[in-house]
Amino acid sequence: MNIEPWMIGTAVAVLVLLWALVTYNRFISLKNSIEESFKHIDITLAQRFDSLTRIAETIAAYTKHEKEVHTEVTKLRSQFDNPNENEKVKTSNELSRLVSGLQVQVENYPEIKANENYLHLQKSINELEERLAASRRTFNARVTKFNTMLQQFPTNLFKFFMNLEKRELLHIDTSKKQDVDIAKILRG
Amino acid sequence: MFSSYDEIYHLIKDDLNEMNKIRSKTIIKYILGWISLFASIIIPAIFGLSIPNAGIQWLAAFVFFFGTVASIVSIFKTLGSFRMAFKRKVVKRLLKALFESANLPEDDPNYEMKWGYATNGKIDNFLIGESGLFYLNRIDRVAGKDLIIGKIGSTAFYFSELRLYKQVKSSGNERKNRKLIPRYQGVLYLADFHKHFKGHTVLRDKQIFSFQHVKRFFRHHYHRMLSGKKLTTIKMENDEFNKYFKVRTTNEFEARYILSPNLMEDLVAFRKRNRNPIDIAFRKRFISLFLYNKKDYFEPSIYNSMKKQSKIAYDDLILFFRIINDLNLNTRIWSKE
Repeated sequence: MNIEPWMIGTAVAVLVLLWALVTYNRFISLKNSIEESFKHIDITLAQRFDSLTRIAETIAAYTKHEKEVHTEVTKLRSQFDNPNENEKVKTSNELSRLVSGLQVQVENYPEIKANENYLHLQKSINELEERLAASRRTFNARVTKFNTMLQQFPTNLFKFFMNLEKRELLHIDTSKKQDVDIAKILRG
Repeated sequence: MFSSYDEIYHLIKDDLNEMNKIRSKTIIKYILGWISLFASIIIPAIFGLSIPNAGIQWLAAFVFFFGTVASIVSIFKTLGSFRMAFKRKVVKRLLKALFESANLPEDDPNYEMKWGYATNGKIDNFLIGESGLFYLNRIDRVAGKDLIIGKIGSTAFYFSELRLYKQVKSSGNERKNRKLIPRYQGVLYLADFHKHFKGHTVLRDKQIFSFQHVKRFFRHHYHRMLSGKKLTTIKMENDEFNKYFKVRTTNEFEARYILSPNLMEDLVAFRKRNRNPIDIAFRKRFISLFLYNKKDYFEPSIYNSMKKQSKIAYDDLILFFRIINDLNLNTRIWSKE
């Protein structure tokens, strides 16, 4: 059988089309995986916020500032429901600072340290801090993969067809590199 | 935490002296065994061939047969008794001394130190399956010895030598034979992991130094294809870690939660201290390590002094006991109890 030029042309066209399909799907899958990891961060952030709220209320119950703490926590919770991610992080950090302040007082109340609920919450926060760090690292790993594909030739051609943009990496605090000990962090 | 060998040596000195006496007796019995074996072959041969008397020849054949069998049995029995005495008097005593003389953390009154040793024991088949390291549908027989179990602080651990065999057909000229070939050979170490997780994460060693390692590398790929397990390969942020290990997991978020930057550094440091490949898995509640090597642990030799051999056994034990501290498995600041 003779190989005609149109056969070669068709074979090349089919291969290019297959490659384009695979690359298109790869970009879609990466985009979705980035969204998934972002949602994961959001969920963990919310769980961490809940645990911080509970630990603040547990400590406050032993001190003279229960009412003030409760008002402050309610205020922060309404702020946390804001859909803006940066606002959420800011509110979460504010709550961390509030817990920090309360934690200083824990030294004066040995009964808090012996409280099972308090100890459990401390461990939960440690775990959530690590899960949050892991989610951030996953997000960054996926974004890096996406950005690399977007910059490499010939996959960068899809940038224009699919209207894709380079994604920003999340900044990871170097203190998160350590295994988190909330007691140490909260004591400043 | 654990005492140095010099400190331990003073605690086991009496047992070593006693063992040295057993060793001297074993050497004598061993030499006599060989003399008896040669005599059982040479003397009947001389008499049987030089004296053309049927009675003498029958007697020579009788002496040759029973003398040879008795001598071989005696040699193996002597070495077997010596081996058991070494495990009982040296390995067991070393374990006892190591655990009893360990410096426990003063700030933790609940810190536990427990140990157990079974010379002919091995890690249970159930735990081998739970480890998540092996493709058990490709395994036909499991053998092992020197099982050591215990608890250091809050971390329970188990380890033993292990050989996992696969039965293969080897076709001869006339009939087909079946033989067992070791697929995995080394030490399996399991410890309770300090973080709670649900998925399955495997770290395969990437280093290839020998033909055995090349075989291992291809076997893993072959088994992975056959097993049909849905594990995704992920790349970690630590380049040095990626140089040593390939990470495959059912859940990327969980894998990164387990493999914190600190743990990755600790695993690389541990890997660097070992010449042979190490596969690691996180499954159920365990961290499992399989150290590939053909070394026979805690096996004595009549040719070396007891001090030298006890030092080798000490170094082997310390390597495994230190894993818990090296990987910070006693850090219990997470919700897992």
